[in-house]
Amino acid sequence: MQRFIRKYFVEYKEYIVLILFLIISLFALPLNNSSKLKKIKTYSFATYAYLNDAADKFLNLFVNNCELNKLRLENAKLNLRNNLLRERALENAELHRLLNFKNSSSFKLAAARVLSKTTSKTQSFFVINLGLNDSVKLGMPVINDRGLVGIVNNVSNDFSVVKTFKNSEFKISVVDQRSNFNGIMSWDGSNLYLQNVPTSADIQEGDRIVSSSYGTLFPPLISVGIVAKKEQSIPGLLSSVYIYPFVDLDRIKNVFVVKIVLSKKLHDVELNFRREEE
Amino acid sequence: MINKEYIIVIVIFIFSALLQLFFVPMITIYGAYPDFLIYPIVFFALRKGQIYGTTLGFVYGLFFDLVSGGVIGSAMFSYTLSGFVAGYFYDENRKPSELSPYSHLFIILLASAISTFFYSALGINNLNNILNSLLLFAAFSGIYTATISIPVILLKPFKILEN
Repeated sequence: MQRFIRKYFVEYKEYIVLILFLIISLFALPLNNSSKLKKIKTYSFATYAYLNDAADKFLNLFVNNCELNKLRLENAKLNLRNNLLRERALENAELHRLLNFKNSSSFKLAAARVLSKTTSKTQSFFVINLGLNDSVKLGMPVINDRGLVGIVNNVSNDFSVVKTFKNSEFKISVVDQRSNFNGIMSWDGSNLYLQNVPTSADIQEGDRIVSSSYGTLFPPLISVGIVAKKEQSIPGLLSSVYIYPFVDLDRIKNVFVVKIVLSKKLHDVELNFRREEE
Repeated sequence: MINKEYIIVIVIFIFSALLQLFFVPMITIYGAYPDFLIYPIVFFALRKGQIYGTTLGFVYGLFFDLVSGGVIGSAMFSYTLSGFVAGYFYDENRKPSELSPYSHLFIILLASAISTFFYSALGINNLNNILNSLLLFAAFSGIYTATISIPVILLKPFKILEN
């Protein structure tokens, strides 16, 4: 028997090793939200981020970005303000008072550099050079001068991981700025989309999509994108609405952290953040 | 005393991961990207065999998941498979530098496409909707990685590690 097992192992050892490692990898996937693993991840990415930071600083020796960064910050503030004005043109003053409309242009923005990016189609993460020491907290929205980028997903003392909108776990409450139709936007690996939208919903190609005031993660009126197309998923009943984002994540180098956490408890529920920790 | 080879493997990982996380995002084409971690995995799999390649893929994947801030398990899974596939082409009587450039290119393309596909596929809930686009994306990324590898294959920088 022992000889048989030994012979079997010697003959198929490559496959046994492969299956063992694949099983370990698959078991690791659902453990990503456990607090112990998160601590290890935080420590690891923060340690390695120093290398990325050094490489970034070395490259920046040859480029003077100071003026450009100032302009980008100004642009991001103007973008938020512009959305507010657009909204005000669409709604009347009485409705504003009723909704207790929030002035998103007054949010404090902290400029950050993107140090590294994962390039996966479905799990896009950035590492940025701001952390707990810069008052960055888990759940803070991240934008750039064109609009939404993502949300702070993990924070160390000097660095943070940003879960971008090109991540299948990223979900955000959005609104069609023209018709005020609300929906939940997510990423399917190729497109940003609103799923299960009633076919009768007033959404047209070219409509501007912004973050909704119903959301607890993001302040309202952060630019997200425009409606690219509307396709019927169940004929006559439901449609999928595809959104073309304003921000090109492939080219992005500078971002701004919006220094607010709207409602920690609510957003933990909404995004299933740290669901095993608490 | 740590084996000298382990130090080399670690140094190669640090350099490759730095390229992958810092440099590669600057050269993506329509989201497709070259995979710099594939080169050492393929080289060591061709040099040391399938078990070594599989194990190295697993270890590199684990460390890459940790340092990238991504989902732990996805790169582990995909690089393990890549190491295993590259190890298929191992021949104990042949050094990797003796492999024809076309075979070398093919192995890198295959390993890279497999790793890219699974790395992206493991992060999605409903694979049916985008299976075709992911396959296309993986093939394109594989071709991109193989194209970038041409100087590596011709200049044979890993040859110094063969003895």
